[in-house]
Amino acid sequence: MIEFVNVTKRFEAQAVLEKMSLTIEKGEIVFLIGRSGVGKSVSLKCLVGLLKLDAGEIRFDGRSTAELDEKEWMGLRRRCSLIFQNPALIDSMTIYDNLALGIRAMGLAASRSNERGLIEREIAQVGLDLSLLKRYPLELSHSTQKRVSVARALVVGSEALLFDEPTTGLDPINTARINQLIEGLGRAGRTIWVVSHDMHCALAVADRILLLEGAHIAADLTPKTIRSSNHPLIRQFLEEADARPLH
Amino acid sequence: MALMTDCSLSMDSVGFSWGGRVALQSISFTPPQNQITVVTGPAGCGKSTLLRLLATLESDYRGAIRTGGRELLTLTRTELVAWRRQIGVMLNPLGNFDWLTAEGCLEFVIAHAGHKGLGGERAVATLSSVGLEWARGRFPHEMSGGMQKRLALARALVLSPRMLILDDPTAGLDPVTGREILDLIAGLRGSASIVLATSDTANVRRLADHVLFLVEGRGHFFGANEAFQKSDDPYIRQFLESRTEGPIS
Repeated sequence: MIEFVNVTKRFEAQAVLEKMSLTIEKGEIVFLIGRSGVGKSVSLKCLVGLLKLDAGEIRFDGRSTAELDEKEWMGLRRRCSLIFQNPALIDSMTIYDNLALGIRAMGLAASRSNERGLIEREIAQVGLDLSLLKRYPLELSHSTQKRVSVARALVVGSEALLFDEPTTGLDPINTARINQLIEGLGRAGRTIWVVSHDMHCALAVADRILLLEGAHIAADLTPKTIRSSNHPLIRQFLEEADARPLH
Repeated sequence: MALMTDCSLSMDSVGFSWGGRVALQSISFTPPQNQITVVTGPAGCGKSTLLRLLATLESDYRGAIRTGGRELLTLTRTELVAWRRQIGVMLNPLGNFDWLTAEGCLEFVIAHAGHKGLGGERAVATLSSVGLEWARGRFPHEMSGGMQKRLALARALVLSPRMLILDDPTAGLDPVTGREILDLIAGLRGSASIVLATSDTANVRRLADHVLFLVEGRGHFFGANEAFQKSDDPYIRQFLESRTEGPIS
């Protein structure tokens, strides 16, 4: 379970998150929506310790992140992976070695064949061919790199996946592929937290849709209840989604 | 002097490769002046590369890119500088100046073009047009990805260019902000020729007067948006209908 309890994060004088509280239960798929620049990505970065809180507390499975030492942070980041908007693969390493990096750093494989088994399983899980393992990141399209970055989280056994704008900049075909991947991972029981502007995906896949506005959670809805919301920003988001029909 | 006023562009059998990889092949099209031409297609089709060529950022191409009937590579340095001052460009990477605030970025562009007296007011007005007036004192690294994108767009707009070359200006923006940016761009129709790349099929539908649809570096379709939307070509249908199965791998 992920809990934010009165979390405040400021950049100089401006509070991007102010006494923000939310709970994401194990196995839930939650979308966080909001205007550009409002602080959605900041919330993900606070969870994995890339940004320090100014006040409040974040708990992962009941344990406050304020208590964690460096080794325990590594443990949290293994269980709870942030998949960045930019895939951030290491250009000088093959896809195989990119995926093996985390396994080796954390000592997760008893042998090289065990390591290969882990990698081949998760590459298939994200819908990619094993022949990609010998290639380098720059030989792959952006959307394929994104799927590799998801596999990188899966090979270390992450139970929770945090997606920062997973479909930004993708064409509609690859957007559909990534959305299918997210849905499949959620149905397999992982906890999924997505920061996204893709309302179609949110409506189709999410258990809950949260609106971040005014530095806190302004609405906490389900795909069923969101359509009856009177919140003006939600109405605008839905209008824009309806103006972009899926076929 | 004809070149100073003619901001037309045309591509004639243009090809380009990155190292050994062919990115564009035999591209021929002329974006109509003072209208919006959207370049679209699946990932890796060559949209961004095509924009880089139009923006004169790459010179090692095959074929011809012409303005006012003259091949760009034959322009003198003085002519090229003058021509570039008529175009506003927003590409990836965004190229915002990390050491300058948002307002400073725009004032720099204005001063560099020789319009020192116009700096403050024009910069603030342009930031306001993209919804960033409140962030005028922020540095790019203090901005979200979407805000940085809007700053890059403001840099492209600040000199009121006669041609705009924009690479996916709404990618990463929330739908409401994205719509505001699209409306801003649509409002320039008639006063600027716009070549815009995007994979967002809703943006193509809403914005384009003409569409250039690329598949694997080749021009698969060039024509009016209405004809593109109604086409029964299997590549176009798969793309517009967001289907994972079809001739586009």
